[in-house]
Amino acid sequence: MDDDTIAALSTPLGRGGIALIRVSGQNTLDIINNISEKVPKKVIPKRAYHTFIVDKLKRIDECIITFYKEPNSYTGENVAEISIHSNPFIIEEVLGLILKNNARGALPGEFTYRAFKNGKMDLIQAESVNELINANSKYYASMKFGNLEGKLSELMKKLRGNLIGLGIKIETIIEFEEDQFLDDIDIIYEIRESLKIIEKILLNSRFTEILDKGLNVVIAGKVNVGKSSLFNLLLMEDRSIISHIPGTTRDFIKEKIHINGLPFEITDVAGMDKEVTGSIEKEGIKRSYEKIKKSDAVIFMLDASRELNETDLNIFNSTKCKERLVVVNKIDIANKKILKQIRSNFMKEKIYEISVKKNINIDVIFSFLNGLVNNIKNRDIDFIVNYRQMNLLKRLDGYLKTLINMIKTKKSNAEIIAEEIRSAIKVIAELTGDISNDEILNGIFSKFCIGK
Amino acid sequence: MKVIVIGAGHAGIEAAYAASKMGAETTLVTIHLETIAQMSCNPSIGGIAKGHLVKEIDAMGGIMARAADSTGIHFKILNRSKGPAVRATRTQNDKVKYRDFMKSFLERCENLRVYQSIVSEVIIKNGKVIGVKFVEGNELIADAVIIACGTFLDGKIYIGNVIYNAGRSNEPSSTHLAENIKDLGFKTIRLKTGTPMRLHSDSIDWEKFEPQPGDDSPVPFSIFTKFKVKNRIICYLGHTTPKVKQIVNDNLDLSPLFSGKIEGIGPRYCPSIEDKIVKFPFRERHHFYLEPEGLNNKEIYANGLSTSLPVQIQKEILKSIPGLNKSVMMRPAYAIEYDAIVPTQLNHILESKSIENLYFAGQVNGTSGYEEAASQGLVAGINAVLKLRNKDPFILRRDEAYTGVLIDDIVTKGIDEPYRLFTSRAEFRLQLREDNAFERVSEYALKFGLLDNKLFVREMRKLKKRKDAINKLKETKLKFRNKTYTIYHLLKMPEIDFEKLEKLNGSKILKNKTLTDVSYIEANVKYEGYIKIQNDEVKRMGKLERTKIPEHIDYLKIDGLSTEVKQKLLKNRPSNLKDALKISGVTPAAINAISIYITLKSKIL
Repeated sequence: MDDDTIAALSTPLGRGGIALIRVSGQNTLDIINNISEKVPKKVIPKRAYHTFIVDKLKRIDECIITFYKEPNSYTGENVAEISIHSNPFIIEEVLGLILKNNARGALPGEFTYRAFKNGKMDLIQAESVNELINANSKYYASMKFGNLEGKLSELMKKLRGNLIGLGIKIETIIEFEEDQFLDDIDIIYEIRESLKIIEKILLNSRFTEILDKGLNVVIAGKVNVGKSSLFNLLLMEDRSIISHIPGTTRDFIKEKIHINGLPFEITDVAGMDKEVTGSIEKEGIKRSYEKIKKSDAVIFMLDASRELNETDLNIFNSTKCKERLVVVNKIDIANKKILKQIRSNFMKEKIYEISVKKNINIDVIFSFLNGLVNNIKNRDIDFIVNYRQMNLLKRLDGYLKTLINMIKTKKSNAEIIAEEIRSAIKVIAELTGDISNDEILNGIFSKFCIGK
Repeated sequence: MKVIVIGAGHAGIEAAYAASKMGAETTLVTIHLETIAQMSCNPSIGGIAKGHLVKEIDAMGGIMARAADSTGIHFKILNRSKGPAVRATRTQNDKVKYRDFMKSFLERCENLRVYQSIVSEVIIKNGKVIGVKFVEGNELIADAVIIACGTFLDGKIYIGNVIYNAGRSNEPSSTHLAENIKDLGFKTIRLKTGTPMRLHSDSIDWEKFEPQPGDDSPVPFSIFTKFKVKNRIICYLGHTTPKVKQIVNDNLDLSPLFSGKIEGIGPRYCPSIEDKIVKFPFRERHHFYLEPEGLNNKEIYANGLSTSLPVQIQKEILKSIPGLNKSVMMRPAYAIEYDAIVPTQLNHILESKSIENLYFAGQVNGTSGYEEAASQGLVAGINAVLKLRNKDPFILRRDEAYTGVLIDDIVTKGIDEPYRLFTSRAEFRLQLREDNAFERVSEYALKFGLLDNKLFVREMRKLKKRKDAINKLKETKLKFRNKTYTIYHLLKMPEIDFEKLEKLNGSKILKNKTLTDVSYIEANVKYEGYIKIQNDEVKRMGKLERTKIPEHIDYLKIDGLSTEVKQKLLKNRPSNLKDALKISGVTPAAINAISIYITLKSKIL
């Protein structure tokens, strides 16, 4: 492992237009010289060279090679990006050739790890790269870029500076027996401002999950009301079994769809009728109610051709606190008496008449889902956090609140206030992976004239 | 078993006493018998973090606290209005009585001989120390040698343009030993410190200064002390004037500190008057204290006016301060430059990494302060004997004692200025208190035979009394602001201290209580939650400690580390991640990188 140059396929393995192989490390330049026809020894960084991959004078594939000179590259090392045709056999051959030229296969995440190690990004940024790759939606991806640009890092840096300023003051009070109290209004004001942002992030912590996993929408209704038909309509493909035998969907089926760049997780639950007798069905009903409980929104379907029953009322009641859309399906074969019955039972509710089968009034479903999206989009957030960050931010939030309260009430002892400041700085260090132990002590000497 | 201690300052005394008390035949060598335990600088013991050290030294059976009580003339608890963790004792002492006390104490010790001479070299054979050679030419054989020579290694005194060799005002420095230490391959660092002028008490207009009396009911330092300590003098606070600022600025070129003659690095926390004026140009005045050096002694220590300016300028400065304008100088202020060894050449028992059974303790290790020196002396003395007996080394952890913080800091991080202890240096500050020093370290001392059983049992009884009182707090309930609380819960509230609690309770909770009792109880109740969190951290640190760094790790290969960090790691070669983290400049991010590197390597290979 003397020449620690790594290489890996950066695009998914499969057949397609282009595959990208990334090489990083000291031997990068030698490697691209050795394996290609005409990348010059004095390669110009960031220029795309159109050439051929050759192995013992045999051309393997046409390619574009771009070289990035350290430290101006993703990892901070010499990097080459080699675009070839995406064919598993070609990829294998090219990668094999690279590895033969003094490189080794990169471990998962190793490029990003190197970028972090070489100071190209801090921990928060490194994490968001990983999430950017795994992001589920366009919207999520754009917000992750917000992170990558260091918005959270910036906030933490500023907060850390403020806390160190406060730490210097409090430690001076302790070490040099100054009989004063912390009254640095500017610093405290700035910490409050940072705290506000942290609270906003935390308030939207649920949002992080929504973006990651999708907004969870359950389609609920009694047996054979047309839930699976709607589900499939939304998916625009036949996945679940549609039949006229009641209760076909015994458990539930989940699928992801995207509307306006936001992911939805649509759940088609089992029919929820009380009359069913089989133990499996009973279990299915129980699970259906649980799904409703955990959902973000519910599409509740009624049947215009069958009498209202207890199940309908139960479902209606169980979804009262949810974002809810109530539709009456099968309007094409509706019974007027039943429609009247439904209206009188759900007087205060806006009820839409649709037919999934005949594609009548389906727009209401999409406008409902769009509305949910808009509710979220209107929230004023431009960056989001992952679970690790969220937990740390929760802790930080706690420390800062206690700290501000302690300073406000002027009752706590200096060493306890100092402890809260230390804890908060430590959490920030865990968030950004950066700390210097002597900063406060050094600050004391540069900012204060120490007598005795 | 024979132990030689070179230097009878604050470090040497404790080292020699501990070694002799543990049964080693000990020789304490001093340049001048009359200046054993000389307080070369300020006439006081303790202070914030330093008082903590003194309490630890005392709880380990050391002498410093006893001497401070016996010769104390002014007693004060600092930070009294703050919490128990940062409260600290400080005494002003009669300098003459202090050294007399020490001299006669040491002269009466079994197994201990005090000997006046100058050591010219330590004798090494096969990588081990075997004795010392004196300037007179004679030699003395020993199994272990502890060097505690303070500022005497190549000491140079500066007053204006006048420079002369000295370890202390008018005492010869040890140039031979300094050379010998360098010849043995020890790297040294040039440091600097200073001391202010001493003034004649009768020539000061005391009316012009603000009195700083001791505490109303003075509290002794030591658990050995049975007599009542008393305040016998008052200290005074004064301020310099804009005129002083002008004089200093006009004569800066005469200060060897600024003319470039002194290369040594001085302590930032104890700056000379010219340092203060240059560094804080917007301040028109700086405060200073006037502290009597003793009872039968007219010398007044002008704390805060240390300088290396010429005597004539010193006089001008004094003339421009109201109240000192007619003062008579008895000794001028001076700066002293000296060699300290780079302390990273020592292990945690303060033994040289290259020469077995050779120890260094005190200011020679780059620390400053009597207390810092004494605690090192004690640790070196104890370990010198333990090692010769093939016993486990005695190393105090960072969460256990300030002594542990101090030694760990200097031997792992090294120093770049004279090292002074601050409570801020302790990660576990709330646990390292004066009130629980006994609980933290005394069991070790008992085991080593440094504390006698009777005293230990008596102090244990006091400790039990405190613990019982805490349990009792949980049982008693009280109405407060229309709610019922246990008084334990009430004491947790920031606005309620023990005194207020007793008032609310309507009767005394603890009879015949001392300040230590109150602090101990308050700390254990108020800090409970924080200490729990800190204990978790102690455990986490334990995990880092268990992550061993492979011996032949190539730091140059870890690209995430800065060149500076790489060099520091290469130099120190820490054996585990915890030790790596302790090196100054090595950040947790760097630790992460090393940790990932170790894991990656183990996966790839």
